[in-house]
Amino acid sequence: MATAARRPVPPKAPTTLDPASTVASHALLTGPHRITVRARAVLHPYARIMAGGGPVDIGEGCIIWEKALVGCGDSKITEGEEEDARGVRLGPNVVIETGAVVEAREVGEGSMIESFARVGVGARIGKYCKILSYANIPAHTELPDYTVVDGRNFRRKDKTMANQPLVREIRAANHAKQVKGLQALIPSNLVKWQ
Amino acid sequence: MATQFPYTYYSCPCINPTDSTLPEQDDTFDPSSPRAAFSLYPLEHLLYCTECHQVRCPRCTAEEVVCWYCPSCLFEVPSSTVRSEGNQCTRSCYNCPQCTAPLAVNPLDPPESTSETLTGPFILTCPYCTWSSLDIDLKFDKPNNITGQLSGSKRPEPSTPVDTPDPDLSRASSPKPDPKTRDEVFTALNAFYKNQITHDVDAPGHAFAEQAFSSPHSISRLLNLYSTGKKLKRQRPKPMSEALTPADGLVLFDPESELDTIKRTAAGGWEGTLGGDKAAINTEARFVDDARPVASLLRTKRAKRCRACRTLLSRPEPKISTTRYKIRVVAGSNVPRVGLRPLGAKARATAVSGLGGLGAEVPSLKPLLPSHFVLTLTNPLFDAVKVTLATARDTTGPVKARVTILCPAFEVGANTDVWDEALARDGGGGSQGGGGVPEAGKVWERGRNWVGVVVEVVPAGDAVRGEVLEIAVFVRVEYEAGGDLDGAGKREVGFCNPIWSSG
Ligand SMILES: [Zn+2]
Ligand SMILES: [Zn+2]
Ligand SMILES: [Zn+2]
Ligand SMILES: [Zn+2]
Repeated sequence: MATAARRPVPPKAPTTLDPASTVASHALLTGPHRITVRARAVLHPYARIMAGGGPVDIGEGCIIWEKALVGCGDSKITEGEEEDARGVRLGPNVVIETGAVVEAREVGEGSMIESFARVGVGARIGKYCKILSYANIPAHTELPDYTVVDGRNFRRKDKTMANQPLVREIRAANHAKQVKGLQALIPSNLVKWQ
Repeated sequence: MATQFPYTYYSCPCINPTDSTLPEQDDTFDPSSPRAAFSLYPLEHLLYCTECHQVRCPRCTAEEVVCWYCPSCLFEVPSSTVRSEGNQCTRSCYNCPQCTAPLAVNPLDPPESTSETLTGPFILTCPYCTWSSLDIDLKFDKPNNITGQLSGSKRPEPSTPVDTPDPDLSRASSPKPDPKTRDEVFTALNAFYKNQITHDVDAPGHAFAEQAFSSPHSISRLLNLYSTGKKLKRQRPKPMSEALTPADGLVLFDPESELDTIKRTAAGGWEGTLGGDKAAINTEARFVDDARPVASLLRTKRAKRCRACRTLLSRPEPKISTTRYKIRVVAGSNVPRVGLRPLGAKARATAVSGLGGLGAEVPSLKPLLPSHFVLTLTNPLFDAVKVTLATARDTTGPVKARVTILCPAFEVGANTDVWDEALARDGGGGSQGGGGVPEAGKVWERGRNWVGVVVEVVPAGDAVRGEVLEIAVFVRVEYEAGGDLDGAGKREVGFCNPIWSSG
């Protein structure tokens, strides 16, 4: 990759990696702030975590697919913002699909950001939300729990997930199965990023 | 349609349905007339009838359904089933009422259950927007035959048969909304009025009807025929009665249900109501809670026939999984392809195929100055053809120009093996011409199965800037078919619209 070669190598971020997490050696963890990866989280090769504007916290059982970007690249903080306002906190079992860009302040448990969706700076995504492909969530949006947003910004509440604990259980079991499968497939290289 | 320059549209003969009886000079084609827009097509859109020797456009072909199939499960549906069950898949194919994505059948087994077989219950879920049939309290016992299970549980509340008195109606004074669906109301109304009509026929309003004749209708009509005098005078058929009870299919306005609707709207808010587009596929539903899965609509494969002689022009393979055609007679392999390019432009290959555009070098015309263009005709047939070109002296479009075809009659070679041309070129033959000055009566250039002739265009002095000049060219093709002379077997109007005037 010619462009990558020309760019200066970004600094490795200080990290706290759970020994039960999976971080591929081709994943990219950069920035001056701390990156925390919790147990059973899976970072695919070429997944990018940028702690440029604040610490990034990847929750338990999160899956971050290749070419997805979590965190803000720049450390510029506008007036009135807190020191780590540009940090990102992903709750447990969040899935960030290929090419999605998540700069949100917080993504709640079990939410799913589908491929090539964008979630702007400072947004707060509730639990069990689903941001469909190519959807664009503007900065500082607050989405309530169980919201589904599609690429044309059509929003609805996922009543099945909200009202049916059994469906949530099934979903969690499937997610755990997926994490297990990915752990077997992706060679983890925690040493490289410690 | 085609937006590239130069573009060529072909006029379908169906613009002038009487032209077979008229001498050819009479049907001059005017491309700028408003009617012309309905008969001009790119060559790729046209079929060809080998019996009529004419191109056939979508307007002069008749379509017939070869088969019906479900786009989700790709199963063919017999047309008898389509007639009885309607235009929808009767297996397990349903679409999401929220986003129209195909729904998947998923088990609702608890995750800790270890049994190998899925026991259910099953639900329909949308893999896109996460809608599920649990939203409307629908569960299924089996993962297959969803339609059968759905019709069994059509309504959550017990539906009232048409002929029994409505329990809600008999209850107290305020009639509750009839729980019948639109379909049921329609069936009831349909049955009621059919009944009315048969009654009317059975008891025609003539004199015998008043007497209590129990004879069948046909006999009474016979008697009527043989009776004489004033008794023959037919009365007007007695007026039909209208549907009067909910059992007949009458739907009464119910203020309470309106109030109920208002309350539900207030409670559910914006998100509780279905959008117009979603209500359109779910005609009965007004609220998200009422939206039911929509059975997948069927698609068809269609054959096309010539409207004049019923010859099959195109017939897809009836097998659903293939996209191939059994028969497909396209115009492109039967009529010469016409192309136009400025003289001197080195784009013969694209001009001949008629597909390539001129790109950046779009010629602009100068008023009163002659410009030269090369009109190429490519013969797709395996026989040489004699071509005669004709064009109106002055164009009729927004740009007035005088058009002269320097060589209007010539012969185009057969579409033989491409290798012939390649080998001939080695020997010094092949495409000739393309040099010197354009000369009247001479073919400009010529190849294996194509010929280029020069067209001179002189725009009028008051030419409009930025408008497209369209030249109508009448192409007459003569060829010998199977030994016996078919004479002027074919003719068509090629129509090139290539140039514009920028003054
Ligand atoms: Zn036609
Ligand atoms: Zn189907
Ligand atoms: Zn859906
Ligand atoms: Zn025909």
